[in-house]
Amino acid sequence: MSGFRQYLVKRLILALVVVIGMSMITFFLARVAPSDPAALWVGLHARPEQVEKARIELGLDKPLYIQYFIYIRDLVSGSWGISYRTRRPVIEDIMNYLPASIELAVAGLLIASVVGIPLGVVAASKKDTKVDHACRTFGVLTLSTPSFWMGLTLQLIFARILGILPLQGRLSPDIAEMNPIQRITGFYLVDSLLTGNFVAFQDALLHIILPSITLAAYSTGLSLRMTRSTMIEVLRERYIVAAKAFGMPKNVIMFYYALKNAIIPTLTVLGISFAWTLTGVFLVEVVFNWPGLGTYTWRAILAVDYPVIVAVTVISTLIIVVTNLILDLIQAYLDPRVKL
Amino acid sequence: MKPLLVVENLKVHFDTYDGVVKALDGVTFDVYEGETFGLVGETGCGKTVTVLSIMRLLPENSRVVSGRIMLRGENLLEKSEDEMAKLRGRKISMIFQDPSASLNPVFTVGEQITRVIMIHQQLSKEKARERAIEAFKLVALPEPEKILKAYPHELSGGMQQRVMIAMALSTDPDLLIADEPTSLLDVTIQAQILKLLQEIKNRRKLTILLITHNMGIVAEYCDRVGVMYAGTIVERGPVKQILEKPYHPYTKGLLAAIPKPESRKKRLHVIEGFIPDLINRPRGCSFHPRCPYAKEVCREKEPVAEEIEPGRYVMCHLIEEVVVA
Amino acid sequence: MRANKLALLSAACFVKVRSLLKDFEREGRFREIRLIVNTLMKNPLTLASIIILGALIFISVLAPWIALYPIYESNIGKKYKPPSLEHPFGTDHLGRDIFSRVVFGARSSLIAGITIVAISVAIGWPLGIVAGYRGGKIDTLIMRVTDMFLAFPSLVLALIIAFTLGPSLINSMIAVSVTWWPWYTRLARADTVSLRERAFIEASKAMGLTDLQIMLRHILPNTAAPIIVQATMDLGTAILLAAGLGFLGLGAQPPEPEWGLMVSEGRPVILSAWWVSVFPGLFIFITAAAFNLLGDGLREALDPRLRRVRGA
Repeated sequence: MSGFRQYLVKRLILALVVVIGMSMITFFLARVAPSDPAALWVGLHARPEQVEKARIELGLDKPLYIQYFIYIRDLVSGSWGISYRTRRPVIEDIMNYLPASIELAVAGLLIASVVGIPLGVVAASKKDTKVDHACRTFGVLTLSTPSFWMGLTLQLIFARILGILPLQGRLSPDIAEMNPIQRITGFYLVDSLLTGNFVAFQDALLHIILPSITLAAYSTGLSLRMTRSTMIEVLRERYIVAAKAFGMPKNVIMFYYALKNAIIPTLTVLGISFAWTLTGVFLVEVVFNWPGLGTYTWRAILAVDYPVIVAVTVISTLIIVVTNLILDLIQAYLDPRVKL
Repeated sequence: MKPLLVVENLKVHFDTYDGVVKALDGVTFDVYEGETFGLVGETGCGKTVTVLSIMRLLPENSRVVSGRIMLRGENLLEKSEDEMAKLRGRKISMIFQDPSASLNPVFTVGEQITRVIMIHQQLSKEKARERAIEAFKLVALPEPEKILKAYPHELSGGMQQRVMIAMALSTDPDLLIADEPTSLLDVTIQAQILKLLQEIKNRRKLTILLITHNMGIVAEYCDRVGVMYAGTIVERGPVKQILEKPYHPYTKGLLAAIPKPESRKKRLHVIEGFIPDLINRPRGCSFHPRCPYAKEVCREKEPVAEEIEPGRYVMCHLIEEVVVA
Repeated sequence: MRANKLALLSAACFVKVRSLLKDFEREGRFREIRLIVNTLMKNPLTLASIIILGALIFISVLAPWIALYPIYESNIGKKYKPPSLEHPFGTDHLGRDIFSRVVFGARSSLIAGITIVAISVAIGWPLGIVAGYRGGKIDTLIMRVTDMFLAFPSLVLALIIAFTLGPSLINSMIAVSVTWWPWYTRLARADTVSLRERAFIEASKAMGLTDLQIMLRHILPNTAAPIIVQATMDLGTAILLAAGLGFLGLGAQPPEPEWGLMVSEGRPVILSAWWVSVFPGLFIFITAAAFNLLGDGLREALDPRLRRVRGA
């Protein structure tokens, strides 16, 4: 399948270009921000000579493009710099916080897909009926909800008024002390199950409910709407009428015949959902005090923590580019019309 | 000869944002067993709506206002959706105008035809595959085993249409409805496909309802024909008689419009005017705005189909005068 | 001299507009527009959204007369008062009336949403048409840049830009716009590519129209419908993003009555003085929902296939 390999290589190169371009933009933007990183590094009460020394140490006296090359060289070799704020290697910090964000994002994406996609199919098959209108209205409402407001409101209702769910964080402090979760993957839900720590598992589950629902809201509406219009398009096609003319029963058409045609665009839906989920993770983490990459990045931005900002940018770009690449490849594989 | 299919006074309306479109305003015709019946008319006259009504595949905004469609004495309009699903592809099959759009692009043609076969006959996959190959041989497709594994876009238009015909005939139906099966194909392929249909019809006991806008095809391949205009059949009867002696002004215009190389006239014959607005149909005869012989009665009263010769029906007030003219 | 030029210019504009309207009438565009409006009105949800949006515009324009109290004056004695007849939405941490601030906040949100979408469309749409029509190297270049921006989680990039430029309402709008235009480029390009093959484009070329003329006269209007639909729906999301930036402290700064900012101001006391956050957030929700419903309705109304079925 040399055609496939060619396609793969081409896409990889493109992906690389995208990531490099993005890192460049972020790097230069961050440098342009009106703040002196050297001064920040040394602290507020430093003397001018200390600031100057720090500047040379941090390599900030060199021309901008040289700084960039140094940075890229370091990136590739695995040393991603030291955070100005936490004074720890950025890589360490990221490794610490990334699993929390991924866990939340996956949970959100799962909920969004499991709710949104089937509802979209149902709405399409019962187009223009009350069921369809109800689904669409539900989709619009979830698309329009500001995630931070929804998070706050959910906290208010469930944590305060009803008192059945925890307010914030990933784990209750007493559970963290009494039944700490052994770190294997960094995903609390997975690790606690793997080590048989059911108390902690239950606690972690309770903690993730509200944030993941808040995160899932926008993507649910998006998935619903996109799946619905995809299915409607497919159902309108001539070959569906022809299939009916050949006597194919309706449920076979819906769940086997048309579904295969709809899977390919559904993957696109998933990709876009994922991108928006990553966007939403930010706000949700802030509202729920979720110790993930979002909170970490936010603090970094407020503190003008350059290494972190650029590193996080590169990572999130990488994640999205890789995910899109995988989705594209799956699509190309599934669709016989794409010439490989 | 017994009539296999009888359509009586079929009226179909569509609800649209612009108003109610009266697409079919009383269509009546019958198709005898073993013959090829042609339904001819311009785009928009209602041919496709008619056959979709027979198959009960009309879109949601349609309403059958009145009429009966009798297949061997049973009214198809009264059947449930499940009953219709059993008939479709089994007793009545249909092939469409655009074969590339009618085949699902993400399945191989083999998968599609075997699925159709398996739906209607309780056969194992291998047996179904054998029948599929037989069907492909029936339509003269070269290398049937290879074609089974092909995707629709890998086949030419002619081959795609043959696949469709194979699918339609794989279950040995009584009636085959062909909705302009060759309009989008090259002229040479057209002739091949139509000849193929004729051969198959003669070999098996098949009845064909052929939709076309091409009078030439009607002349060559049909036994009887119905001329449609604006949702009604204005003239109906054996092809030979209609070609020699057309009665209805519209039919006359259609035949006159066929360019004849030996004619000395420099300009093509044109039927003046446009097809009518189906939401606000003209009063009286729907053809009167364009009819060169139109009289007062044509503007007032709707004509009724009259049998002026055995087996020949015309919908026109002025038959005697038109005959003379 | 200046007055003469102005008069001449306005006369020319007037004539141009009049001929444009005549063209519209001849081509039956007015009838089309009336049809679209009719279709919109028939859907109750769309109708509701139009009414809501009308009300919002009304409120934001007439804010100074609708607001009950001055929005910048603090009145510590009255802080954190729950909703009452006096203060329908309660008061905030500085004793300011939330209802009045919400009313004024409508302005920033609506302006933010419209500006963001307007800028994104103004950049993305023409770029997409050029990319789709010209093809080749220009297409590749534009699409690579577009992909670059698309790969980025928009909030992160918007945050960085907003921070680079300094937190303010205007900068947050610019930040979001920069992340948004790629979607329109993609949309416009896809549409253009399919339009490019159509016969009437060939015909126009044969008649001697230049590329620029073809792009302006033929492709632009024909790609308008999906862009309009997307833009309307995006207005909702744009308002959400702008409010999100405000919530994070990177949009309008205190003491501005921006809805997102107001929600974050109420966050410390969410459990006790819930009204400070809930009411502004509610309005963000209603506004976004109205735009999304309108966009949905527009999509149904503008879809040519849904509109008419003449007998086949």
